[in-house]
Amino acid sequence: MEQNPFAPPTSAPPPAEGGLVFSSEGVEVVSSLAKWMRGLSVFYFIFIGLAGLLSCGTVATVGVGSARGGGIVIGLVVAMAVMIAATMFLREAASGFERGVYSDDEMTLGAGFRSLRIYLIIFGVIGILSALRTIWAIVG
Amino acid sequence: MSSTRIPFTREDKEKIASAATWGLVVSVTSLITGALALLVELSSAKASEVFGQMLQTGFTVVINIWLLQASLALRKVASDTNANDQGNLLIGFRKLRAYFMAQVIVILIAVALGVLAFVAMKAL
Repeated sequence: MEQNPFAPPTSAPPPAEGGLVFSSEGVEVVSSLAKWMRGLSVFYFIFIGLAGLLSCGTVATVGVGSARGGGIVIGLVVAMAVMIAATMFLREAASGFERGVYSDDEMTLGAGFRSLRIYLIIFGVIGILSALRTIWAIVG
Repeated sequence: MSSTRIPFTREDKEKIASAATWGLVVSVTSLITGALALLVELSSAKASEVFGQMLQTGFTVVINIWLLQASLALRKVASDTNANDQGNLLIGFRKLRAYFMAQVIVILIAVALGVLAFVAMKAL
């Protein structure tokens, strides 16, 4: 396509030497990564919905007034809140990676890493608690 | 992707390093939990439970090794000494893709098996 000599000058500066320029392979890998991350987030949303139904069922059958019913509902609500946060950060990370790669912008990519970090912190804490619970079950 | 440095800001590099550290935490704690759970099941007498736990532990080991590799590659991106930022970033993204893809596939298989078991129970 020929360049229009009457076009106004673009405001975007030319890409810096040695900056972020993704190859088609890199774009394909990140695009695919973002799709799988979003796919996993859909399953997380389904699990959150099932946990919500379970807590409603618990309220209907056991009732929140009893200590057992109240404990189950509080546990499910906390688990749902944690999973909602993790799912949102996973989706944000996927969007950040995809936008950063398509625009060759390291700032947007950095934002994706920030969201991925929070997602990994949530699962890191869950992993530590899970390991401690397993050790407790063996020792106790 | 060419082998060049990426001009990440200092703050972004710190976040990438922190994400890599937490990735290591997730993978190591998952590997420890998987190994311990297998040890507990091995002490039980039921062979079917042991087989199921072995499958689960095998899957945990594979996906967490991918997460470990991704975290190590991202640590290199965050470090100032390594010049091949884009190459390491691509390795990290590839391993992360394998990590998330395997999880989705296993959930799909588990859901399919669950539906099959439900249908089989209804048919009996």
